[in-house]
Amino acid sequence: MSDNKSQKDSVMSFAARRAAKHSHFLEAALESYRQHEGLEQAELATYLGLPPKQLERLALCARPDLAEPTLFRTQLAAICTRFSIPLAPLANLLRRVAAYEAESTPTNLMAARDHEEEPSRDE
Amino acid sequence: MEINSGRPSDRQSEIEIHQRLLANDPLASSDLAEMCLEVLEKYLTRKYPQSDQHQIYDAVTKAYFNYVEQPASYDLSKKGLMSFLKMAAERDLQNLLATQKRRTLRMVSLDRVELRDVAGNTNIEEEFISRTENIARLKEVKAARLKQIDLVADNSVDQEIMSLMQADTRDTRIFAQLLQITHLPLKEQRRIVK
Repeated sequence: MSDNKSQKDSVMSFAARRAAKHSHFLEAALESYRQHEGLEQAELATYLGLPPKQLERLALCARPDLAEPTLFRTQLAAICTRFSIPLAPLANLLRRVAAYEAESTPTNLMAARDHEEEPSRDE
Repeated sequence: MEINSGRPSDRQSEIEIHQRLLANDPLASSDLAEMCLEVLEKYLTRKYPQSDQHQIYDAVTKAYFNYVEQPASYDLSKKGLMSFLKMAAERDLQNLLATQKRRTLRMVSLDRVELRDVAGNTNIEEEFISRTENIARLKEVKAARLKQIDLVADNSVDQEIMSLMQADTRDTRIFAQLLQITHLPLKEQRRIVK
């Protein structure tokens, strides 16, 4: 959910926005993707094939775990069935977000820095 | 992993949703949100009418997130899930209110210091009045004590000694003169005075 707060916010919208800071929730992935791709909420909903009103409920689902492929598929299917959305966009979104996260993990950043600091053989 | 599409509303549903969370059903947290967030919000709004909406939302979502992320923290055999969440949300709200109160008090005390240092006479005058009032009160107390001494002491020497004690006098020589024991060695004077 974006931070553009409406005048009369519901507790559900508030929770959905807050969930972006909790990696357990799907919202963390949705928000990360939205920001990386520069999308508005409505555009994200369109991309997922979901009515915008349903985004909050989707956001509060648990994020399927890519590290466990079988569980990931089951969880993804359960979410898509419940919200009547196609599998591919959400699966693609989750994989893209996992890639963003892998790029920005401290281990990768340190490895990149070590690589830059390595003296060249010509010296 | 069992997927359940029902909307829970009673004890059996609470048990069911708890078990779904433990079983990693990805829809369980969303169903729980639908089931409990508004109920918790209404409960806290009714019980803490002095709190603002943001504080209540904060407390409700904190309790919800904590439980969803650690469902094992809830003991199914002890009480209903909704009661557990109400208690957690209430505790979170109380903590928030206490933190805010401490912050407000700190800001008020800092404001006072700033005003006294920078803004002019207002607080200095207040402090002056307060000190003057304290001095007047202290004089009243002392006068009352002296009156008590007059009533208790048998003779003028006793009265004078008690007055000196009341005035916190420590000099042995003064008491020695009063007791007419200045001819004795100082060590002896001290012993008698004590």
